[in-house]
Amino acid sequence: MENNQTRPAVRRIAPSADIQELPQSYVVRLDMPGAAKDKIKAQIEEGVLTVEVTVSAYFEKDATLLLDDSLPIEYHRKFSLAEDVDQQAIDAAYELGVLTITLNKKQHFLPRSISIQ
Amino acid sequence: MLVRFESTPITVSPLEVLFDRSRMLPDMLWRGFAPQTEAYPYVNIADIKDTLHVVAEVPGVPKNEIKIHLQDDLLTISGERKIPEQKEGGAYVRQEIQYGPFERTFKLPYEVDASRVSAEYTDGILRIQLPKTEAAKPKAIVIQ
Repeated sequence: MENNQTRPAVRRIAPSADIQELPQSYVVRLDMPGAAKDKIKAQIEEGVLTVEVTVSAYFEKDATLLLDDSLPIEYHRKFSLAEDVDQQAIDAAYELGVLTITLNKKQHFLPRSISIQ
Repeated sequence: MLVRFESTPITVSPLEVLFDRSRMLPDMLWRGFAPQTEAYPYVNIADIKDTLHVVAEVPGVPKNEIKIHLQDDLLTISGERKIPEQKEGGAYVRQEIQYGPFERTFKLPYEVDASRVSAEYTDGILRIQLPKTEAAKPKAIVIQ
């Protein structure tokens, strides 16, 4: 009998995320250790932020694994953005295996103080 | 401000035996669905050409906050992941990342040469290499 069972090519993981709201922005932190900075894809399409990157397997295929798996890891996560996010004003930084995305709020949603004449 | 896991340790550190596969299964099962709950950090170990290669995922922890301790055949990785600096007026709307002290101890499958152990940390990944001692390597025995 033919063996139709196929082994997955990657381990797909939704990275853990912290989201912090500040007066003028949102800060999203994602744990994605081992990623090459230039391989990380972060894009916004139709109000959805998608972040993904594939991290190479930690060991060669012929290594004797004593704990865990030899598959590459694919980090993948999507976030629906609140309507106050300015989709044109986004910054991202990758440090210590953590991706930090800053989403600025649209100007007209920012708190304003109104001076009384 | 909502901050969870501030003072509780991320994990209790039971002694982990490399070949205990029953311990490995829950890690693999849960990893895809849930934030880290039990063993932290995630560790992968391979035996390549008489050297143990340990790869630990420790994102968000500067290397000077990570401690590696080797005593006899026990390897311990410990440290603390600190909460990033809070900006004024900030509030968490979601918090899945766990912060606090962590520790994991492994029983190594063979004796390693402590003087030749090396470690490096890049992009949240800690890699430790522990070469087998000459005494632990298999030897061919000549029949007299």
